[in-house]
Amino acid sequence: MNEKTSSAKDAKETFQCLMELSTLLGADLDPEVLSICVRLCEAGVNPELLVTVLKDILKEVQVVRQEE
Amino acid sequence: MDVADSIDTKNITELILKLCDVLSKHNPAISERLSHNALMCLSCTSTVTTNSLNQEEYIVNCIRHLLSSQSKDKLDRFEILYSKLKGSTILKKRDLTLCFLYHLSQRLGKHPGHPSESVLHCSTKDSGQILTRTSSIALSNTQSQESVKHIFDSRDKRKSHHSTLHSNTHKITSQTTTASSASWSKADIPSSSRISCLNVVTEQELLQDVVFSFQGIEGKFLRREPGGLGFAVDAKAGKLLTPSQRALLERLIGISFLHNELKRFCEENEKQRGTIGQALIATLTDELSAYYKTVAILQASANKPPGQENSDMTLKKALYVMHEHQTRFEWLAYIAEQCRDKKGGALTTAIHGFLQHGSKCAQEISERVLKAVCKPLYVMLSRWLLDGEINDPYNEFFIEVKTVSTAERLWHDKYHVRQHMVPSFIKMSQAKKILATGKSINFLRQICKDSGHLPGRESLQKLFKTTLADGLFAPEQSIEFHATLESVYKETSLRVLELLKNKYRLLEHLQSLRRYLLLGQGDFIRHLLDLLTPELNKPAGQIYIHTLTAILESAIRVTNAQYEDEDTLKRLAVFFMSHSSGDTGWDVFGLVYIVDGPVGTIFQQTLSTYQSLFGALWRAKRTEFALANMRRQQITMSKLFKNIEELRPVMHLIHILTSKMIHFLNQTQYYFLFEVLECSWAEMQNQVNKAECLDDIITAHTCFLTSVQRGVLLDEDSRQLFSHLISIYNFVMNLEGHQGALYQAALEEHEARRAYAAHRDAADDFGTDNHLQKVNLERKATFRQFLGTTKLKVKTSAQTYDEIVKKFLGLLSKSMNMNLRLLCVRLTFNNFYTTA
Repeated sequence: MNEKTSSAKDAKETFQCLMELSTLLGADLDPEVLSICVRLCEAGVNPELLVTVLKDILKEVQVVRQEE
Repeated sequence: MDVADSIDTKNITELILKLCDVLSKHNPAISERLSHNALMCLSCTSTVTTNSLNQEEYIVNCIRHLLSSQSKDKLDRFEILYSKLKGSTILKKRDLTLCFLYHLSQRLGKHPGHPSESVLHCSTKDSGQILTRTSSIALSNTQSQESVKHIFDSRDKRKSHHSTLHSNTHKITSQTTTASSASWSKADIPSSSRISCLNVVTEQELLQDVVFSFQGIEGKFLRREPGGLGFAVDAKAGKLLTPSQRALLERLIGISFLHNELKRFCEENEKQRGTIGQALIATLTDELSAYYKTVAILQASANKPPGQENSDMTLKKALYVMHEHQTRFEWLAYIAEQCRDKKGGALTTAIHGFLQHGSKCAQEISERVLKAVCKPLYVMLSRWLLDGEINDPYNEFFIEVKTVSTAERLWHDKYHVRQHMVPSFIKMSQAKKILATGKSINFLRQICKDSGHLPGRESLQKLFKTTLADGLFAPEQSIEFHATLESVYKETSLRVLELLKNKYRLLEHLQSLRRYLLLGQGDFIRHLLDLLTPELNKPAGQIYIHTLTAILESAIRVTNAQYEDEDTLKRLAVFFMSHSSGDTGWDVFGLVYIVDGPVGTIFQQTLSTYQSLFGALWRAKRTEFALANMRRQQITMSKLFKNIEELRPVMHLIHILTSKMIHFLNQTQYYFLFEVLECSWAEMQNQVNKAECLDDIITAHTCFLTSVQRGVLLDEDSRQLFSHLISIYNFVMNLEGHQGALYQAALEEHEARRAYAAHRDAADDFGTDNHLQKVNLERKATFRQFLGTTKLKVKTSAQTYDEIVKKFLGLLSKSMNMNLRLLCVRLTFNNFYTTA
């Protein structure tokens, strides 16, 4: 129980850190998106590729929006 | 490919799908298209394996470089965040995440102008540019298009099956699954930030305050209690604290209070105390510096910037760290409180009491303190026992030195045991032995001038060298210490006795005193009385000491005293008390025996006792002597004046009275000389032979004198008896006077009668000379008259004498002393004097 809560706290803190880091580096990501991305990274996805993919998706979404 | 990997791949696929779903604002058509492209691109990357540390370092450096070009604050912030991330256990692939973020920012920063570069359209040159280090992956990227497609297809096939699952897993993930993912969900973020906003007072601030208070310095939250030693939580600042923080603070400031108390005790007593007090202060200071060391460590860890290792010092931890000091301080403060206003031995006694305490901690601390405190005492003790020296400027030792006027008083008055300074671990008897040992050394050195080697010192020296101060009180070692002490005491005492007995002829002096001052040497005393009588009958003013000295010498020459030691005879002298008018020589005469040197220690103070004893015995002797002379004279008279008929009744009276007196005096003299003197003497000799130290001899001698004093009725209780005795003696002297006068008168009468008879015979007138006859008759009448008055005087004095003797006997029979009651029985063995 204790371990769980402590790890939860730890996780929260870590996430906050990452959030701040992303803002610091000028990448304004949605917390949910960031969460998924970090989990992808954790799963061993190549980060550079992920960045590229992410960019592309964002662009595609933008294009679709404009079309609409 | 094993199972784990396939699951991983599935995970990634799901995550990508989710990502696309989120980004496309849940538009399934777009989402599907996006995910199709994304998966094509990404699915192969699960095989990425790089040296994570190198990569991480590389990435971190890149980020640092990037941020430092922007602003310093950002760089600092990054450092803090990075250190936090490092401490986190959630991120397993920190390097990858960081890399992701870095590249994300790179893209946004470097190419904000042309975002239209499409990787999905397989721009191999671009990926080749950026992904230089993962070119193999990029290559495989294109090569494995087929396999990716396959995966995607297979995923498509199972799509219907998955979509049902998808919502479920999503729910589960957001609810529980792992703690980490739950906490990362959006809902939690604001709540955590709210907590940090409310918690105004951080542990760091409080810790700093506590560390200050540990050193007696006021801080923001902790203020000094007005008028007190301790600290209190500041009322204003304290409002911001949570109850748990306040409770912790209050527990912690207890230590500050104890620290202040001890510090104040040290400061107050630093100067006025003696060496033993200083030892206590030094121990306390040691404890304080150990405490400061801990406080310094605490301070250092509290000051470490957050994020570093071991920096997580909290109030609770501080409480734990300081706990040992707190318990020690509690006891030390208690001990210090007990020692306040005490010094020397009394201080050690106070601390020794704690040694019996049930608490282990108290025992340990008090032992430590006691050890330190006993050190100076031990040094003093060793100096005293080894050299008889006292170096005690603060009057802490349990033996004190006083100045003495004469050398003879050294033994009695110079050294004393200070009762209140004797430590409780030294018994009074032991303290006395310690006193006697050192005293003996001083006695030998100063009085006997004996600088010879003292016996038993080696063992003592060895003991002092090998054992520490705890030998005084620790049960095991103290046995050895006390045993050595005992043996040293015995040997030193024996040495003193040996010296006194052999070199200073103690026993001979005792013998001489007995012989000459207590009339043991009968022939000498008898002869001296004989020779002195004419001289002492004179008024005191007409007697000169040199004539008496000459008489004394002649008495010595004639009697057995001449065989006495030359030295003894030299010491014997005539003593003259101051006299008033009407005193005869008998009242002021006395004999003295001069004793000096080491033996004077024993005899000096008893000389006045000897004098009074001599006075009493001398007086009895003189009375006895007078009675003997009277008896002799009576025999002469009865022969000489047998034809003076008128003399007979008077002589008869005197005869009877003299007989009574002789009986009385014989009995009392016998009692004095044999029952009292001889018995006490024998007892004393016994004691002296058994004596183990000088004190034993002194005690035996004093006992002897007191018992003799009591025996010859010189003590306080028998003052009345003694005054009766004196009046009885006076009666004897009175009667002697009467008898002397009678003798003189009878002699004159006798001569006159003889002359008258001769004249009458020669005249041949047959006694017809009227004139002569008349004169004769007149003379006879006067003689008769004189006889009559004398008879009357003797009669009355006989009556009063009887009364006084009866009173004396009455007192004797009521006496508490068995011997005196026996004397009474002996005096009136046939109930001649019927006592009431």
